[in-house]
Amino acid sequence: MKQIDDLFLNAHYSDLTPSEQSFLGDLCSDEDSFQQVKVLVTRSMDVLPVNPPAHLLEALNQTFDQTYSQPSVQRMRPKMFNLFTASAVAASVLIFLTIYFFGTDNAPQKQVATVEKKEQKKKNNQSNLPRTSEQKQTPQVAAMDPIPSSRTALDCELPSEILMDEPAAIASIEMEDAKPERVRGSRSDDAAVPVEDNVASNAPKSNTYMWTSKDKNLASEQVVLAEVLMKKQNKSDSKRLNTSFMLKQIKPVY
Amino acid sequence: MRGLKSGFSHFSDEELMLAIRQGEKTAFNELYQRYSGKLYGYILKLLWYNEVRAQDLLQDLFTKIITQPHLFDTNRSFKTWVYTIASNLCKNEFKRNEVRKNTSNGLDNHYQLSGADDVAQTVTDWEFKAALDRELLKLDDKHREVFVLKHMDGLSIKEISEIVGINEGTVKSRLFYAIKKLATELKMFELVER
Repeated sequence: MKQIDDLFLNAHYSDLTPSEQSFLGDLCSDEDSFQQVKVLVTRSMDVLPVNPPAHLLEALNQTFDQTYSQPSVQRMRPKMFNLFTASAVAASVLIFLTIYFFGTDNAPQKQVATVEKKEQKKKNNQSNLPRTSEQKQTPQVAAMDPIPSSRTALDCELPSEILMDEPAAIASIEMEDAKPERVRGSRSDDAAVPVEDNVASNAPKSNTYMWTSKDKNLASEQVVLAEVLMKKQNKSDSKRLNTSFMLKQIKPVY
Repeated sequence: MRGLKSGFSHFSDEELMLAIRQGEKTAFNELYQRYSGKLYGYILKLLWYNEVRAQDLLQDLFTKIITQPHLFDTNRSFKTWVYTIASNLCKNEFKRNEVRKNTSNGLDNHYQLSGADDVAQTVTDWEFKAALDRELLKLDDKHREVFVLKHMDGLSIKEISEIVGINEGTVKSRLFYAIKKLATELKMFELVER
């Protein structure tokens, strides 16, 4: 689409195409109105620019000289501001880095130091432990079965658990976990469980007894074998627990 | 920087602004010669030929160019930028002082005979310009501004839309209205073609 100026400057109304005439329809609908607008557009472009007075240029030149010839404060202000901001930013970054490195470096050093101290204490304790255990606990260890031997024995005998029937093992676990309830339950329900069974079940190996009492069809040898195995297991467990607890209770003596 | 320092006539407006940033006074004078007349006429027409205020605004505008050349984005058109500043200065003047229309204020002083050979033609020109200015002052500010920018300063529709801050369609409609109004009022000059 041509500009309005082009339509008026370079053509007569008769030269316009129908589309151009319709485009200018609101502005000029006939030859006369077209000529009016054409005169206006062409002659308004010939209006010469009005020159401002000369003193204005002189004043501006003075302003230019003042601004650029002398390093005024106003011109320096942006640079100074930039320098100030740059130095401020640099200082803040420096402070941040200082805090970051020294602050974070100090804390781990302290922690490491404390950990080292703790480790040293532990080492000292460990180094003291054999002496104290040898010195003090020799009688206790002697009173009990030797732990290594029982452990090795256990390790050797552990596969025997596989030989146990599952009901026995499960029953043993259940009895260990819920001894009092079984006793109470047996008291309230005499018909379900015989009294003598409950009394016997107070013992750690009562599950064996219960199992035997419930299933009296089993052979006596098998029952005895199971009882022995359970006893051994219970003993080893108790011993294992006791030794670890005792080792924990041992205090270093310097 | 191409050419000699003194030869800024071949420089573009944007290059002149870069030179002004470096303190080249000649570049400033070149820019002043290019735009002072157009801008002064533009401001005069918008301020109803109040010469004192127009000169003040023109001085403010060029002072801004001198002291704050970094405000100009060299990726933009200088012409659009400087006319935008002039337009905003005029709008601020409207709001601040509520400049009143005074068609007789300095209007006659602008049209002095230039001693041309064809006196009749010169008189006709003078009459036409005086009549055009009178009719322009009767227009609304928005229509007058668009017409002046388009038909007196020779800016494109796109440039006007950027300067005034309106879309191109609005520029065209305002221009249409202004042309129609002025053409009707200046009907008496239709037969006098140069």
